[in-house]
Amino acid sequence: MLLWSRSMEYAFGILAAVILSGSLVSFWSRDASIGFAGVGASIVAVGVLIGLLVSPLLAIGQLLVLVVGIWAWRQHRRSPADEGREGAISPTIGIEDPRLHTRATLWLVVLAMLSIPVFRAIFESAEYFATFSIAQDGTDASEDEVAPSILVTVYEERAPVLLLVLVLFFGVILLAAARHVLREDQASVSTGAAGE
Amino acid sequence: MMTIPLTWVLCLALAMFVVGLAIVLSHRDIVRAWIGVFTVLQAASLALAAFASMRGVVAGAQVIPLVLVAAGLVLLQVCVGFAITARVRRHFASSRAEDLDLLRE
Repeated sequence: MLLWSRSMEYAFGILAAVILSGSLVSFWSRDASIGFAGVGASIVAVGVLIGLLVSPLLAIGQLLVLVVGIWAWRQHRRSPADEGREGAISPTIGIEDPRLHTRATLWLVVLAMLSIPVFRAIFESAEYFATFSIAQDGTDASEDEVAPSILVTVYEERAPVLLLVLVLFFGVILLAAARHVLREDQASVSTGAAGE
Repeated sequence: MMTIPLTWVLCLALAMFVVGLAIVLSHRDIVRAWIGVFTVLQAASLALAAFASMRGVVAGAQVIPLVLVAAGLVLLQVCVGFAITARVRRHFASSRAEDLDLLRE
């Protein structure tokens, strides 16, 4: 229980960071494609969190939202209002083929959904072995009071490294997004100057 | 089984609600406003899931109505939002809220 509880707390922290950073990116970005990417990341993270809190079945709604959202965005891009418009927004971020982008996003969602039971299974099995090893020693191994085992200690020792890796990961993503926004701004300023 | 404190989830839902409201109030583009409204509704879904978990609605057939409500709710949000956006863009050739001055032709 202790290991599962601790891992749930870390998972909550990571998911909360993704949700809030995704929402803030969609708030600040001028580029609509980055705004959609931010809200898409939030949708996936909320789905995983709801799956962890209640049931992975509940995350189906989030999956449907993302699929409809991607379809809506593609339709939005094809609307007559955007035809031939100067500085039209690219429908993709870094990936030029929209089909590849959609496929990659869907794979990401499927992997996120699949990761919920895998995540639970890994930590529950680790918890089982921790309980088993304590029981072999003859100590009390009731389900509610599992003493910290070697697995818990190793996990806690590695947690700061894990958090550092995650911070670096999201930092790189945010820096890449900021660089993209700056490049778009520079391009729009150049276009405006040329027009004048 | 809920090992995350309810307060944490509610704080996160509140933060999402505030950010979504800020997006709605500070942007004039209806697509951006739609993203804000969606963020607010996501916060509501998260709070619903947190309270369902706290009350222990997690077993067997009890999950199905909750799944249907949550999935139907979020799908309706997206479909209605997109339908309004597409309609507005088609008629006004613009997605800025200030360009809209008619509710019907």
